[in-house]
Amino acid sequence: MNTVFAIAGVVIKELYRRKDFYVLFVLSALITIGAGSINFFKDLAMVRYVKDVCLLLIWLSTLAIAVMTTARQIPSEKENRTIFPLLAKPVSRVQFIVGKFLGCWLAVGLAVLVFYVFFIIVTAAKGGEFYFAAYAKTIVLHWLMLGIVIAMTLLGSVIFAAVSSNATICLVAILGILFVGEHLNKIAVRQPEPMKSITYTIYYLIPHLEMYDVRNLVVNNKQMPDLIACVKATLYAGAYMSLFLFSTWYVFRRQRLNV
Amino acid sequence: MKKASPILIFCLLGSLVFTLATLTEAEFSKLRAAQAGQGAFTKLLGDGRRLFSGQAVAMADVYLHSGFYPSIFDSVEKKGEKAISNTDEADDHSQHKHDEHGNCMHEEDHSAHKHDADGKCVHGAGEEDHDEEHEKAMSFMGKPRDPLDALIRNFRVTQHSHLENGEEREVIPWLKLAIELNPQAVETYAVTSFWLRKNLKRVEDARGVLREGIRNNPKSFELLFAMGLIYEQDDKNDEKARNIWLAAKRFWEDQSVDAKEVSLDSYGKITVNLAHLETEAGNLKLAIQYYELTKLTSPQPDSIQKQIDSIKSRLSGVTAPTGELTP
Repeated sequence: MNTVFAIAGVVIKELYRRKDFYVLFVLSALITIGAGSINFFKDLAMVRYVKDVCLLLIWLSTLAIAVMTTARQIPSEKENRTIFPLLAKPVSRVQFIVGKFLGCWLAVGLAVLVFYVFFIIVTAAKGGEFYFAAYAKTIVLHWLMLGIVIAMTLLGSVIFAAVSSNATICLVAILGILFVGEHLNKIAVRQPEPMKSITYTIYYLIPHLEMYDVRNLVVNNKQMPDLIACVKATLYAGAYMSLFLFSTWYVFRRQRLNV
Repeated sequence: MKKASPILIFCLLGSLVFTLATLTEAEFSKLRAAQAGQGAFTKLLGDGRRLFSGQAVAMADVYLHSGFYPSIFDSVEKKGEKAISNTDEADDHSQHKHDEHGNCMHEEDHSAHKHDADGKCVHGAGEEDHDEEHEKAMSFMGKPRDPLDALIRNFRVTQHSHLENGEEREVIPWLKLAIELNPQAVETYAVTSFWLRKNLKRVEDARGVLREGIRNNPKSFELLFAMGLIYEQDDKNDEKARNIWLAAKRFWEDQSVDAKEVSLDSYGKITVNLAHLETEAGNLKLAIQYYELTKLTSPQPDSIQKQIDSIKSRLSGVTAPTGELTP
């Protein structure tokens, strides 16, 4: 396990050494503060649109960080040929994959935490109320969703040749799931056979990332899902993460490491 | 060839830049003056910004429903009129009292609803209860289709509710954005003014929005009508209301035949309010004329005729029988 954490530690260090996070954070902060400082009829109590804008930017930024950080992990190790000494040591390919995943997930988790701290500060500054349990659930659900995204991108990084193609394909798939995933069952029932069965199969196969998007509940101060629903969502995320990680290992275990 | 000194090249380029700047400054200042009144979105998106105006209004509607809103994938046939567009016409029914016979007791905006032959209030388009219609339109979710759908619904807003107790203010930023995106969308001004005036009690802000709308759409009879309502209901200034509604009536009449056909409802609202104003002022003959005009556009001409008869009987000194509609 120490080996896994050692690999994960390197990934975390890489995130805070790179500029991606800082750039996206500053950009999100500037846009949010800009939106928050607009004066609508001298009414300072309008807070929901600021929450909405801020949460949207957090989602976009963290998705970009998660995909970009993960997509370059294995290819960069191969390109720099650092993968050879790494695997020459008593590090198995499973440990390598799990370490990379854990590192990316923890690093992105830190980024998510920083973003949400900013969100809470902005909301409080605009007079919004602070709901600890609700925000905690929001952060955890968001982090779980990013776990699936990272596992999916890691699988992509052992399938696709280039970082750019992997990142693009993963982002398109993720955005597709976020926009349409939830509605595939509605689309399916309107289709004739065999399209109906095919669409329904896709509906059940894809990881429903949009389930973890509770921005609407946060923005509109609605009650968050209960603990049982959150546990189910955690198990669901865990299952998909395991599936993607297993698939990554399966492809990677006999893969040639020469570029 | 002798090599030129970098300092000399720098000075040459510097003076070239300075000369060009002085030459082009006049052109740029003209361009800046032309764009002075334009907002950030106009500068960024140009005329393309109008495409997003409807989206901003839809966002306001989403907020009004506290996030409970049908997506494009939900049954299209279940989509009803936007609740955000509940201007006086649709929403005013809840804002006035009724006597024990169900007759309308308020004496303000008589365009807000129609009346049956007995003077009882009847709702607007389709003459069905608006709230019931709206509830029907918003029952798009239904039961979960499968276990996964049931799980996902734990993370969604599943109850239909509207913002209240001053929280309606949250829709204003989106409406303001919609105005900036499309200054020619007359309805957006009317809707924004409605929410500011009726729910947030910010009459002056509502007036400001309508003034901006009239500035951008000088011949908009809808906005002039809404402005007239502010003068009549909030300022209690019947004279100004009358003048503004007369201007609105004139602008409506100046339209092409096709445009008139699609805005008959607006004409009815203007004339019925003018009729009511003249009745209040005791100009009964003029009131009858306006009611006659209203009758031409009303889906319920009988109820209007009843009011005309009532005024005629007042004119001839005959007392109206008990239970008869009084405007």
